[in-house]
Amino acid sequence: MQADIMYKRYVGRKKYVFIALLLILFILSFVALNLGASRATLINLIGFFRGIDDQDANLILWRIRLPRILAAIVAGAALSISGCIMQNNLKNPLASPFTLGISNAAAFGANVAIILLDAGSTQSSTKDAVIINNPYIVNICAFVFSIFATFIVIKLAKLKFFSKEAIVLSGVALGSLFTAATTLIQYFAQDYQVAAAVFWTFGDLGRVSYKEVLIMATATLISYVYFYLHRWDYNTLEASDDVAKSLGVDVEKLRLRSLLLVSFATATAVSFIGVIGFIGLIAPHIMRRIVGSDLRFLIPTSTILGSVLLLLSDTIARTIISPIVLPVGVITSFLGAPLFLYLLIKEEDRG
Amino acid sequence: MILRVDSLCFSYNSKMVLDKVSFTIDRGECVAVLGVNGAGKSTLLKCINKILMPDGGCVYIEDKVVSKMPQIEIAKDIGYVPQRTNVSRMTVFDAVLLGRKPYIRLDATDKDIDIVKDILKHLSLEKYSLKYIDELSGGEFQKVLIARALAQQPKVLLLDEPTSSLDLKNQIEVLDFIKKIARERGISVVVIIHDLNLALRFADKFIMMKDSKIYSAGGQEVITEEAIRDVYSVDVKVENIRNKKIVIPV
Repeated sequence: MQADIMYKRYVGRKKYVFIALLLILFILSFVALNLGASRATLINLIGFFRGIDDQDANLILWRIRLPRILAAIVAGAALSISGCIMQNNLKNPLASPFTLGISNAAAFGANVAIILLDAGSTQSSTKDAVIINNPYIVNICAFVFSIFATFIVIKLAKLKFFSKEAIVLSGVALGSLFTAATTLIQYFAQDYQVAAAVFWTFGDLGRVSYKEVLIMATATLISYVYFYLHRWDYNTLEASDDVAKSLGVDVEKLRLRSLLLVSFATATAVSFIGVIGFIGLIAPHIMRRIVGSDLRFLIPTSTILGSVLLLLSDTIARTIISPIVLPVGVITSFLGAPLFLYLLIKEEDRG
Repeated sequence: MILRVDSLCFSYNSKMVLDKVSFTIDRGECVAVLGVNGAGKSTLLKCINKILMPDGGCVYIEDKVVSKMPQIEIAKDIGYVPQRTNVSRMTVFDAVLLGRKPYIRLDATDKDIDIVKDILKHLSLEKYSLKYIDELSGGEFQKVLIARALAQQPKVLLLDEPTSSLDLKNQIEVLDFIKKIARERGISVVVIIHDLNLALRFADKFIMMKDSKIYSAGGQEVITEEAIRDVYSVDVKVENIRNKKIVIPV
């Protein structure tokens, strides 16, 4: 058969992977909407569409579960696409949205807000002993410090012409600096403040409402559009920086803008939901095994897979020891770590 | 004349790597760049297509000044195959299709795919189209890299040691193919090569570099025992066997 016809068929098959993932996400969303500690189920949902009004169930479905599900989809997408672009740009399989130190910077920002600006407190009677009484201050501080960290890393990397090593090393250094600063302010804080701050760092999707989902979705969409439009440029980076330049790509500009947009999407998500590990690392890895490192397919598919994985983890977090809701970050790490090791071992086999 | 390099200078951390390098190349001509490691050969190639910005001097391609052209326009005129490149999980067809990047706006068109198809056929790589490049042998992979550069439909091809990782059969096959395509399509080739006998077999012109400068340049007559002793610090005999110049280390 002619090479071009074979190639077109091969490309066509990859599109099915994307469609299949979308389908899985759709089904999973319905399942998630149906599951939970309260009695609200899909029957109420059907009832709702038929005009039967069960107020409690509607409240749970539309005000609690749906925003949470949407948050999982959006945040999963944001983290996964960021990881995908970072791994490509830094040509480092361990790169993730947090390689630039964003998670540490955001945690520091949240600690500053909770401890120094007194945005957290305790409550004795309810099951959630710790509450954040001024979430906006916390969100804003976390965001500001994330972006601040990004600018520092970029400034440092610029001195070395955005070499991959310079970016990774400055990210690691800055990350540990922020961690040290966090420890320092926690050391001098009250117990309840530390509790609130630690609580914040567990990623949790229950904190967001539609408004926050909308903000996260906007940031993610802007980044996604840029990344997808530059998919061919990213593919040239897979060969090497020199090859990319010889094919007409302005490597430094591409890397600078990519880092900024990755940080923008990640910082927005992290500021609202806290740190959720492993999604941004593992979703692109899984997709790379299925569709290869071609960013034309890797960008859309790993985005959706990130949503699927985070939604799955959150659904497990809500139901596994119901009615207690675990922080989703715990589940993603529990699922992610073994999965990641499994992939690594299989990779060795292949080599 | 298609490529003119005029007193090109480049220094790295205040160390001179290229010192006023000048030469010209005609259409369809194959030029071998010779010299010891660190003589500035790879840097010379990278300065020609502005992967590295030269500190001084000028490169002209058909009277256009390369340093003033946007990178994407340079990519349409000059193809480049580096000494080392990453092997990623990408099919042969995709890897060659990347060479169409300077022409692709949103997505590859049927024309792009046709061009890739023809090149694969020409290099008899067709049967590997959907194989991942990390599963290829060294020779096949080297051919894929050359195919990618050819997909750019360049006027000048810059090759940095294209044969260093190949066996004898593949060395000859790859170089003969490059020479053929240079003749057919009028592409000028600048190739860095270490094997002097391979260079003698392949190239029309020779540029010998020593200590960041051009030691000598010209036809086969520049490959002399004296020149090789000066450039490589190795004693050799240059003999004629069956009317072909052969370099034998003594």
